[in-house]
Amino acid sequence: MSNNQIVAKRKAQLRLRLLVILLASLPLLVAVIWVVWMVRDLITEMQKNQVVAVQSIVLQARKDELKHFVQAGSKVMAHYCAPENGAIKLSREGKELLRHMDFGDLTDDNYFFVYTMDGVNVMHPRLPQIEGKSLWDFKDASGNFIIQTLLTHARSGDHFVDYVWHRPSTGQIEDKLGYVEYVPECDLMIGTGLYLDYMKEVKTFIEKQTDQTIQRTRDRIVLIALASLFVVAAGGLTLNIHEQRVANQKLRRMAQQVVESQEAERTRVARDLHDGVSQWLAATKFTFETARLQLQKGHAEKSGQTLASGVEKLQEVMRYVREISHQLRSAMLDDAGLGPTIEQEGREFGERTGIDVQVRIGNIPALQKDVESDLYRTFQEATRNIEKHAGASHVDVSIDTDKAGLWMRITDNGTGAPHATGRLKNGIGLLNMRERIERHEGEFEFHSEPGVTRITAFIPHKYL
Amino acid sequence: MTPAESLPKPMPAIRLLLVDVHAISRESSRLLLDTIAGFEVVGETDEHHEAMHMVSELQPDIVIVSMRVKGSNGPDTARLILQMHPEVQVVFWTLFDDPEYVRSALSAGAHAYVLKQDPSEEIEIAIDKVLKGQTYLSPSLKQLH
Repeated sequence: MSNNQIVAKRKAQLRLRLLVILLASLPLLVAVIWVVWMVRDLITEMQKNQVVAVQSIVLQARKDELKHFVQAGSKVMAHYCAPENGAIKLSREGKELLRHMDFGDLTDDNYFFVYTMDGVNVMHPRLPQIEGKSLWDFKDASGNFIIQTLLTHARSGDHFVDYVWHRPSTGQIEDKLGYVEYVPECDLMIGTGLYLDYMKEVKTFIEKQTDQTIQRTRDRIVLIALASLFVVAAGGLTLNIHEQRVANQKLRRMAQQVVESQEAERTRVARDLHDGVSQWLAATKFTFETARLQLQKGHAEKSGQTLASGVEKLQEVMRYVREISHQLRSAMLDDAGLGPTIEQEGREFGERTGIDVQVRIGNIPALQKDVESDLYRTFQEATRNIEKHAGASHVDVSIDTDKAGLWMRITDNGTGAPHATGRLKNGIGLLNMRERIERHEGEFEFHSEPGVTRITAFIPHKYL
Repeated sequence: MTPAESLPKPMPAIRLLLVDVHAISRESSRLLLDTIAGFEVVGETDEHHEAMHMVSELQPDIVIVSMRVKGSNGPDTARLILQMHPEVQVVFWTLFDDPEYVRSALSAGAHAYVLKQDPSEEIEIAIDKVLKGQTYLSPSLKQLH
């Protein structure tokens, strides 16, 4: 596997790990959002219940308060009532006393009011202008007779009344809870009311409290979630770094292995050169020296024989050199791949033969060993043919890939291959090439006419 | 048989034993040495123990050793031969011209170090020198140092 492939694989692994981290974080995020939403819902629900509960408690307390005040007020009023001109009358003193019996803050608007049982206002501390006037026909915005309702309640002993009233301190029409009582000693109704804004305040207060609680809870959950996310990310990152380190080590090891194998290859070649070539060369030299000595001694025939054996040895040396060069070339094919090997070989071919050789290598992937080797041998066979038979001055070599597979084209401008003679007749090489290519379900095409001879070798994609 | 050949040789031939791991080199160097007047190759081997045995059996004047010996190596074989047979002269005849090889051969007690690359006269000169009790390094080696 080449370094580029390793890098590509590493990138893919990195993307996968990022995806895994994302996939791990996403459910966490969803869960957190869900929990926050649930908590919020729960707290809001609790808040509503709380408002209702607190309001009812507060209301009860205020009702008791109202009742007690009005009871006190009625007792005071009864004390100041006396018959006068055949009718019972509340004395001026009693009226003034009641007028001043405000309770609570001024803004609370808590005061007593007194009406006759036919709806004439006797005393109103905040609206003295209505005193002595009949409010019997006084209606609220909805058309309810307010005073009549109050009087009805007072008479029936059902003391509490919900109604709306023009609040003196704000000038607004507001909900009011009233408590009215009939005072038989005076034949008058005394009452007081409670503006219900405090109930809103309770609600507002509780809502504010719960909002704070919700916010605090949400913040904490988000914080915990962030911490968890951080832990997940840190974990992933650590894993990443670790794996990267492992991968780097692997890469280094592989690089080292490549270097070692190259070292081993060089050592082997050096030994081959020494044991094979040098020993044979030395032997050849000894043989020729022997022949010279024999010639000096006048043993011409012997010398001739010795020379012949020297020539044989030289041939052996040539064979060795070819073998070593072949091994080196295979090693280059292994180490550098098809493209660089063919570029190099093409250059050498051009230099050796004087033919103008153009090699164009496209973007070719790492090939299977046997495909690589067969393409290389095909190239060798083709260039050998061109050198021997074509008489070409120009050779084009191109290797390219497309969607279908890999194409190697070798074109020369030689004499072509008349069927009767020359290159085609010497068809073993051609057959060889065809066999090498078709072995990989490839296609081999040979086209020849004077001036253009082209070999096309195609290997389908699945064999690359 | 001519009268000249029937005459006894003025000097007995110098007896040589060849120890070299490469058969082709051994064969051709034996032919060369046998062709040189005054030399006689009495035996040849590529192996350490056989070499020791042959030195005792054949009692050569000179053992010609190459750097590679089967079952050992040139310097070790030379050292052992010289320990057991101090009367024998050892000449290295090899392709290796690296100074380390030369040093290891000399420290093993070799009397001469000649390169196979040199003209064959060098081996004649070396053998002549060591028989006179001198040591000899081929001139191309001295250029290296």
